[in-house]
Amino acid sequence: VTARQVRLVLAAIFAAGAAARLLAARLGPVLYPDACFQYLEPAWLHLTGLGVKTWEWNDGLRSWVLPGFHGAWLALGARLGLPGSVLGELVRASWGLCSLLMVWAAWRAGNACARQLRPRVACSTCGKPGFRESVPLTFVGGAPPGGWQGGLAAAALVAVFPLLAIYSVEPLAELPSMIALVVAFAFCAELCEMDTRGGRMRPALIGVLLSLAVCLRVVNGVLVILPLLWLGWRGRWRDLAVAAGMALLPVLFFGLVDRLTWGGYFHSFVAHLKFNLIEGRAAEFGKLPATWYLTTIGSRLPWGLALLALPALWGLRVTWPFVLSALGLVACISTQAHKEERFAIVFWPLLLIAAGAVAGRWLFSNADQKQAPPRTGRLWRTLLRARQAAVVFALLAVVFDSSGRLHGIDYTIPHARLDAQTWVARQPGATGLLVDWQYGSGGYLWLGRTIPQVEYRVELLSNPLFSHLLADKGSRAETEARRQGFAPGFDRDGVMVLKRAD
Amino acid sequence: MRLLDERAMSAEPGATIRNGRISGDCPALCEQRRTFVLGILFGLRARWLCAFCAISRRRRLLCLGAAGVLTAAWGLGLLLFLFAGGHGSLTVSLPSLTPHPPGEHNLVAYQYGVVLRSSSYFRDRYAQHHPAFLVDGRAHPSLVEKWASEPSDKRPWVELLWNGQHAIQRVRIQHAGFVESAEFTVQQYLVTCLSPQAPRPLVVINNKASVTEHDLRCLVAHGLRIDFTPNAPGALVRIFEIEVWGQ
Repeated sequence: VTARQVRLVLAAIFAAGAAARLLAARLGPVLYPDACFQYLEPAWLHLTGLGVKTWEWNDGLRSWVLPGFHGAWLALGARLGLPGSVLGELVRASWGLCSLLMVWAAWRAGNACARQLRPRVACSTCGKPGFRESVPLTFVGGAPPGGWQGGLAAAALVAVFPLLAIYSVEPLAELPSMIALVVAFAFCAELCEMDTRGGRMRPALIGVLLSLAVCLRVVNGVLVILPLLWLGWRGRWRDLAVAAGMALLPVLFFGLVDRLTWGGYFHSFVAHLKFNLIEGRAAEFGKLPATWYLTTIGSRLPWGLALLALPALWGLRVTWPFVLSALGLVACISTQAHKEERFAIVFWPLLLIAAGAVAGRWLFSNADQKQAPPRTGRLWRTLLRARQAAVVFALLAVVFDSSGRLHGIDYTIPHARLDAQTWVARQPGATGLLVDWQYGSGGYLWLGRTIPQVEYRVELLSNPLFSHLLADKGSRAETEARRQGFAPGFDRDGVMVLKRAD
Repeated sequence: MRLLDERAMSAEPGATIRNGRISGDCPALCEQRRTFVLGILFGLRARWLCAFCAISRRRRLLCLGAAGVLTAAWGLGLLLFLFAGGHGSLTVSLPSLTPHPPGEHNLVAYQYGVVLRSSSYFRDRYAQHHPAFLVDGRAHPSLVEKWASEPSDKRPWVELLWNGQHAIQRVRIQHAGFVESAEFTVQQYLVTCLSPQAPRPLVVINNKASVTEHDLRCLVAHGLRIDFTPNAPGALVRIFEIEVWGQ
């Protein structure tokens, strides 16, 4: 296998990952209310003065870093005259492309794991088990990097796994946190292979990325433990010190932003911990049993999960940081009463990388097997091909089975509701919009106009300011609006916009 | 996998693995890392899209150029965001549905395409006390259909702007007491005609009436501004309707 061939396959994987994310942005469940109202709407509110303000933003429970990041793009787009709905979709698509970093990280981490999975033989020079041959770490001349088999399989799984593609276009704090974590894990895997110092850049990045991941999403702090232990276990104390030092940068940055926005250093961090851990008030938003994450993960991949777990556990001697971190996260968040699937989304890339790295080795290990005795050649090749076919079939089955089990992703806003808002925004005579569920809309951002958008109440129907009503088809709001002389203007996928008759 | 012996590898400009450990660091790897850092810092995706290609120096410069453009664009957006006008006030533009009629009429009725500016407005999930409620013309509004300032707004104000120049004769304001408790009625405010030849602002103090009507002779005006003083620190200013009569 030449470097060129591997590069082409990797390019195809990236292209497939980008296509999956762009498709997910348009065809998947659209938007979490939290994605809209925690991270986009506050930016729009700051920009225009108009927007829905949720209780977290009254109580200072959220950091302004992520809304500020979005806000810069929104401000630029708004200045260029782009409508709010287009800006919202662009933000989602850009996060989808950013999430391809996880594919890159999976490639690197998969390479590193697969390199460690090579058969060990007695080392002539050091007298202990080791690897006889040398392999390149990166593309060198015509040779692909060592462990490319695992890298390709891991990257492919992370690129096209449907659930991950769907969550990769949601501008939630979980997404950048997940990207930072997965990239940090990849660097960690490479660093822990080295027996030399290998420069300070990699440990510095590990420190920044792990810290950034935790600053963005505090609960993901549990995922920082194993990479640090990993470095310690490999005796990389200097790297650990560099990582720890650099980890202060995001912490200081987030602290400073809190000081400037909420008036106190780490205000949002402290308020968040107090609300969730000390007061336990997250339970106000619903309680679920401790086994909920396991059953939900199981329902996404009932038997495919076993197909992923098998290689991940088979190669546990090298995949343990990934596997244990994934399990540790699920165990940790299972102790909290309030549960949502997105809280556990980091579980998937970690498991997919671990499984992909090992499965890739199984799939492409014929290079090693060329050294098999000639007398067993035909049988050996047949068995090898059967094994390869089985692995390919299993991986494809995992992806296809998962794509058929995406229903029931809670709390999402359907596309039709956002399109209905966009339709209203295009109506020149629109003076006000009533929505049957404010959090079931794209907020003022998606409306993109300064006309009032207010949650439906029956008494507001007689207010002439409200020229349009957005409601589910067959709902009480729709019936009442029709009774008061509203006529349908938009009707798609069970969502209607009714227009006040002139 | 192509296996390389150690001698061959040592001639290659790349890092190697010996006995399971990676030894050495190559310039190519360093280069990759450096551009990666830029990518992380500046949100560049382009580098990774071609990271697996042995990219030429020209291509690399192209990638870095793209990173620079993205960084500059984001930085400009950040400046626009940080100094956004919405931070201090908001502007609401209602579409013009009908032209102003001749003779005396309410200049700020919503159908004439009024532009509303306000220092803030109170909103939560259920109640958006949007400034547009000031001009909806409701005779019997519900509790929601009012403009209310934010508790943090120490100097609430509203401006009602219309197309062209019109003469103002009087201003009618429906205060909180019109619908809810009289104690919410704002007691002190200042009515200003927005005009180059504006008369002196009208100062209202110790107001108790739930509906007030003020003569405000202003021959040529393009709008009206009202500055309120909350009854107590942190108290909301609640106004159900403002009518500006003129021609």
